[in-house]
Amino acid sequence: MIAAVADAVTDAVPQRTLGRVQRTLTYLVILLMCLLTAVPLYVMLLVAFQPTGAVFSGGDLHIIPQTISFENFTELLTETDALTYTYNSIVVTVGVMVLATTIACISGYILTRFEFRGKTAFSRSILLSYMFSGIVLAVPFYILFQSLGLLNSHFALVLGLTALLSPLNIWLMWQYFETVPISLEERAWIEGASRWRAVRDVVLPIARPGIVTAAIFSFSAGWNNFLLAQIVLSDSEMYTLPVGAALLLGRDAGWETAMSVSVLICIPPFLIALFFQRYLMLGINIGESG
Amino acid sequence: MAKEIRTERLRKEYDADDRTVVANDDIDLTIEEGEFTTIVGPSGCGKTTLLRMIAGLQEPTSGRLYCGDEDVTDERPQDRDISMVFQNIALYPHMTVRENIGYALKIEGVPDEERAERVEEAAEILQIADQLEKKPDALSGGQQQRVALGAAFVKEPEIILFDEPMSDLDAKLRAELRVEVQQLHKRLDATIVYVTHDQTEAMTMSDTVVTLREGHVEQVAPPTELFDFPNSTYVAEFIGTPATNFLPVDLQLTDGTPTLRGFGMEIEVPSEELDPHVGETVDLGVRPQYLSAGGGSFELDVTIDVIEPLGTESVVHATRPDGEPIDFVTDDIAEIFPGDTVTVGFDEEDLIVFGPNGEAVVYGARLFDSAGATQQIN
Repeated sequence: MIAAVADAVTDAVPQRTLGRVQRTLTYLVILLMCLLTAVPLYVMLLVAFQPTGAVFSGGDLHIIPQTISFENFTELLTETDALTYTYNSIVVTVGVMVLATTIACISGYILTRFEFRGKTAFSRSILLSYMFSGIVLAVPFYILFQSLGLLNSHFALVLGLTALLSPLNIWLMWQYFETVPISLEERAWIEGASRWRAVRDVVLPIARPGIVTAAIFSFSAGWNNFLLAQIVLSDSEMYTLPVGAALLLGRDAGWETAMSVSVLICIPPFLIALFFQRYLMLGINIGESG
Repeated sequence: MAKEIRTERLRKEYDADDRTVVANDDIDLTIEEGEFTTIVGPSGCGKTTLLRMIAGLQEPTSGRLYCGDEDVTDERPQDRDISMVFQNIALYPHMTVRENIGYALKIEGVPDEERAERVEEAAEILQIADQLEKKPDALSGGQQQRVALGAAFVKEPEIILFDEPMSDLDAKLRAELRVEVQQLHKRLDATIVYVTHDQTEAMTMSDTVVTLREGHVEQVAPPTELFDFPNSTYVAEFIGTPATNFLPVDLQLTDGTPTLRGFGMEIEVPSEELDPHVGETVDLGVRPQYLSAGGGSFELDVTIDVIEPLGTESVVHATRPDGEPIDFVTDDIAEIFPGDTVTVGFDEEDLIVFGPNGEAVVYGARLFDSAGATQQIN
C-alpha cells in the first residue's frame, strides 16, 4: 500500500522536486537535533560567562550576553577545591586509560590468536557482563574494596572503572585484532621475529586505530564517571570533578559556579571529539560489525 | 647454501568436529637441494599443510623433518633459515616497501647501511626501485607481489617457500611473474618449494613436481615425465589441459595376447603386466594432444559440441558414441563445426592402460617403438 503510494508519488512528482523535498527534510531533522544538543550547552556557557548574580538580576535570562566575565572561573579556582578535583580526575582517567586499554589489548589478542577450553563461554560472559549497569555492581564493589582496604583510593576507582569498561574494550580489541591477518605475524616469525616482537612491530601498529578507540572509551568512562566515584571515594580531598561538581551544587554555590565547573568538565571531551572523530566512528563501526 | 628437505613419515591430523582428518598421511619425500619443486593438487589435498610444516608454522602430529642433515622437526620458524611468500602476499601495511623488504634484515641486526644497499639491490632486480618509499596499498597487485618476492630473497635463505602466491592475480600477470620467479631461482642458491593448485604453474616452472592426493604423495616426477607417464588416472586427469580422455574397454585374450576391445576398436597390447586384469574392464587413456582428427591407427567417431580456439591450436569438446565427453586438440578447425561427426584417431604408442583401481599398468610409449610418438607438451 505504502509502496504503491510511493510509486504513485514518484510517478507524479518530478525527480528534482522529490530530491529537494528529501534534502529539506534531512536538513530540518539535523537542525532539530543540533538545537536539542546545542541549546543546553549554550545555556551552560551563557550562565558560566556571566557575572555572579547577573542571571537572576532581572529575573530573566538574556539570550545574547550583555557582558562576558571570567569572574566565576576565578572564584571556582580560588575559592573552591576545583583544581584538586581536576587533578584527581586526571589521575583516575589516565589510570583507567592505561589499565583498561592494556587489559583490552592483551585479552583481545589472546581471544584472537589462541584456542583454549571455555573460549566461547568466556566470550559470551564478556557480552553478558556488559549488560549490567554500574549501579548493580556498586554495592559489591564497595564490599570488595572495603575488604581489600582500598576504599577511598583512586586505585580502587581505577580498578572498578576498568572492570566496568573491560567487556566493551575487550570486545572492541578482539574484533579489531581479528582484522589483522595471521599471515602477517607468521611472516614476521619466519623473518626471525619473536612472538612479542611481531606483536610490537606488526600487530599493534596495525591495530592502532582500535587502541586509540579503546583509549577514548576509557577516557570517557574515567572522566565522566560519577556513580562509582561517589561510592568509592569518601574524602572530599579525593573527589573527581563530577563528584566535586555535585558537591558544589549541593552546597551554597550559585548556578554560575556550577555551570563553570560544567564548562571545565566539558573541555577535554570536546577536544577529543574534535580531534579524534575518526576513531569514534570506527568504534561505532566495529561495534556494529561485531 | 641451498639445502635438501627431507620428510620421514610426516603426518598431520586435525580434529574437526568429532572426527579426525588426516591432512598429511605419513609422507616420505625428498626435495633435492637447489631444485625448484612444486607441490600440486586440488584444494584440500594437504599441500599447504605440508608447506606450513616445512616452514614450522604447523607442528606435525608425528614423523620427522630434516633440512640438510639437521633434524628441524621441533625448531621454531624463527630458527629455520627459510623465507615464505604467502597466498595473500602478507605485506605489512604500515611499513613502506623499503621497510617491508628490509624487515628480516633488521631483525637479523644487519647494519643500516648494508641493509639499505641490499634492499635497493633487490628492488633493482625486481624493477620496483622507484617504489621504495611507498606504502603497499599504493602499489598494483603485481608490484605488491614483487615486494613480497624481494622480502623473501633479500635475506638469502637456504629455502624459499611459496604458498599459492599467484592465485589472486590475473592470467597475464601470472605469466609474467612465472618467468620472474624462475629467473630468481637461477640467480639464487636456494631450494624452492612452490605450492599451487594450478597445474600450468607446476608444469612450467618446476624441476620436479610432487602431486598430492588426499594427503598422500601420488607421484614425484619432472613435468615432462608426469605428462607422458602419469602413474594413475588421478595424475593423468589433473596434469595437462584438457584432462586425459579415459575410454572404458574390455581386456580379453586374443591368441594369448591381451587385447583391448571397445568403441569398435581392437588393440593388441602384448604386455605381461596386463595378465592379472584379463577379463576386467580397464581404462584406456589418451591425451587430447595425442588424439588427432581424421587419423591414427585406432579410430572412433565423435560428435563435436564446442570448439575453443586458443590461437595456434584449438581445444575441441565432443561426445563419443557412448554419450560421454571426449576432448582433443587440433590446429586445424577450418573443416570442423559443432554438430559434425568426425573421426578421431591415435596410435598405439599414445595410449596408457589404467587398471581397475586407477593405477597405470602399461604405457604405450614404452611398450611400443616410441620413435614416432609426439613429445609435445601443453
